[in-house]
Amino acid sequence: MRILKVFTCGNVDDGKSTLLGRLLLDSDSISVDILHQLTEQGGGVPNLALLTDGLRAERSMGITIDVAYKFFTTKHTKYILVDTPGHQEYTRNMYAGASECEVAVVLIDALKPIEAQTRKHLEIMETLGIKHLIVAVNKMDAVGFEQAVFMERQSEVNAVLNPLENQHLHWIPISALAGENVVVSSQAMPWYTGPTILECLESIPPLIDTHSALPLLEIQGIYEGAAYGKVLQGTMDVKNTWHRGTQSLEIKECYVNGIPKAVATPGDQVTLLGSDMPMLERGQQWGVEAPLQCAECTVELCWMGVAMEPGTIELILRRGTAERMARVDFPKQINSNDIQHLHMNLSAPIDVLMERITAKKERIILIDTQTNATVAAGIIKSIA
Amino acid sequence: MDHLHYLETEAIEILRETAFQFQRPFLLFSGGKDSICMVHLARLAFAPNPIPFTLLHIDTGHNFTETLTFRDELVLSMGLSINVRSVVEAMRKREIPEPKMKFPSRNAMQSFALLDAIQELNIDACIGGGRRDEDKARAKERIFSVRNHEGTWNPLSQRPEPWNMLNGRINPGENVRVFPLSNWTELDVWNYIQREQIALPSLYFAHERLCLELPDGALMGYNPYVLLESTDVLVERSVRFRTIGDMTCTAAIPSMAGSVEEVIAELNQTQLSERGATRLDDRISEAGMEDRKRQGYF
Repeated sequence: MRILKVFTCGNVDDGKSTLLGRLLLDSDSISVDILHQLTEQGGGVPNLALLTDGLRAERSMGITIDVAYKFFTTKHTKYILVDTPGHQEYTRNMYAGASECEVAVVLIDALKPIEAQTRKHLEIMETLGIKHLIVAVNKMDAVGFEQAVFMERQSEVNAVLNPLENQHLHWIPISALAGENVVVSSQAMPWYTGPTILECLESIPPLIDTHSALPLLEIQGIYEGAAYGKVLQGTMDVKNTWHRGTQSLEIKECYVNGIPKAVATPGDQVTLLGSDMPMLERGQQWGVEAPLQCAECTVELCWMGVAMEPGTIELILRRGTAERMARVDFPKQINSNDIQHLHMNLSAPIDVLMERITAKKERIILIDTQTNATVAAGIIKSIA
Repeated sequence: MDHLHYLETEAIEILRETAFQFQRPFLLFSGGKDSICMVHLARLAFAPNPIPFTLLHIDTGHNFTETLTFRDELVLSMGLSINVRSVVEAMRKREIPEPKMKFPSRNAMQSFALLDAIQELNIDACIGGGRRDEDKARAKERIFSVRNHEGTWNPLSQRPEPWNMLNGRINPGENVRVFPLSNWTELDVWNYIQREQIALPSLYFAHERLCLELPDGALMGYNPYVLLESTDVLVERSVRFRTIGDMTCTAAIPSMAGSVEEVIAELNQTQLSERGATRLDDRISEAGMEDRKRQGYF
């Protein structure tokens, strides 16, 4: 069974939580005791939004504040569903929730022209490089299932969307509340003959792993003379010679997820044994080709902390397992949830691979030195 | 990527990040299937070297004997070290009286013993077996979940974890709860147990047990702590436990599933959620888990 990570986004009250609830309900993924509870709370009809709005504050305000994770499986796929908040105020949570996903379901309200927040979400998806977009025009029941409305929303979204290279777009008219075109095909919209949301998800091909890319390892730490690391990309072979700067590294023996093996694939957790291990350090990257050193870079950041005045401040930069002090320049004020390109200087270089920068894979977070809170996340766009 | 391979890899990475980011991490061990899986994953994460965590068992004194026997055998056979902290002792220290209801559960009081242990042992990270599919408050929790100096979880100011980049930096007095099984479901756990042939306490498989049948049909394994009333009915049934908590608040389910394969088949058919079917403590309030977590619970 494969795994697929999907998130829902869109403006407040466009029906994101209801859609996830509907997806779970119609795929028989809600237990009877939970359904009973939801039906009681909904006064006879299940209140689907309450399935993911799990915090007291969310239920009392009737909105989603933070990301909720839900799971369901079909015959071939385990789905990790990430319900992200729509409020402008919680955009940072949306960004974080979306960061790991392969598929976005963007909800558009059939009743209203698209709003600023939806545009912001589309911008974030572009930033993150999400490959599959399912744009679902919701609340079709409230507009008499009219094709003209669907097309109107479609042209509005097309006007602001800058499709990425290799990005796949799917358009589906739905009613999350009534369950039209979510799991079950709608009888009310004969003009639409495409797949339902679930059918569309099921047809998304497995992610192309970077097996063929240049092998690259990241070191997590050293313990009892062994190095612990992760295969960031490529297929690692124990016989490879690894490079970093002018140094090279030979591995004698390798464990993959705890089992002795000679070959590891992207994402695998490896234990490396050999006489060279003590020279390794947490945060280093070792490649079949040596990674570059980056002491200065520009990052497309989503700011998650409190508003900052223009100026320069010191923050902790984290890239994978590497940490450095970073002097970050703020040319203008930045508010929570803003996306900006910021320039920064690091206290010492970190290892990066150019390939990974162009593939939007060199990602960082910034940490406040006083509170230790994660105040920003972003993608390295260029290095100096 | 195969889903079990993905989940295993993710859990191993989280366990390694815990070992490399913290000074004194402990692994919370209850003797239930989730914590047994975590011990297995920790072994894989650091193989061929030993597990760098000490286990911590918060003992309510209401454990099933089978759980304790299993715990001791596992610790011995894997050469682990374990610290057992008593809930009763933590209650005595705070002059909290024994609960006096029909099912006198000390479950919620585990938080006190845990908070005492964190303070006395100077623990900066507790690795727990909580899963997001168990409860709607857990569904909202981060993998590295920061608790303040009072052990409190503030669900409205959690650190974002983009790309699973886990930020374990804390100030003195704070600690982090770590959840490597966040994205696992009950069925994932069982499929993994099957794949890895992980041994479990016999309580998880069908056996004959003397049970108290509650008016709503729930079956409580008979134990000396439950206050029997004259109208209570004791019946002998073939049951198993879906979760193993405090004996006083964990219900059994009628079952004939005697093997891992049969349990998986049973779970594929079941209509009830894991905690809904078995946990009296979660039925009390809709926000039961959130409230307990805010007070320092696992």
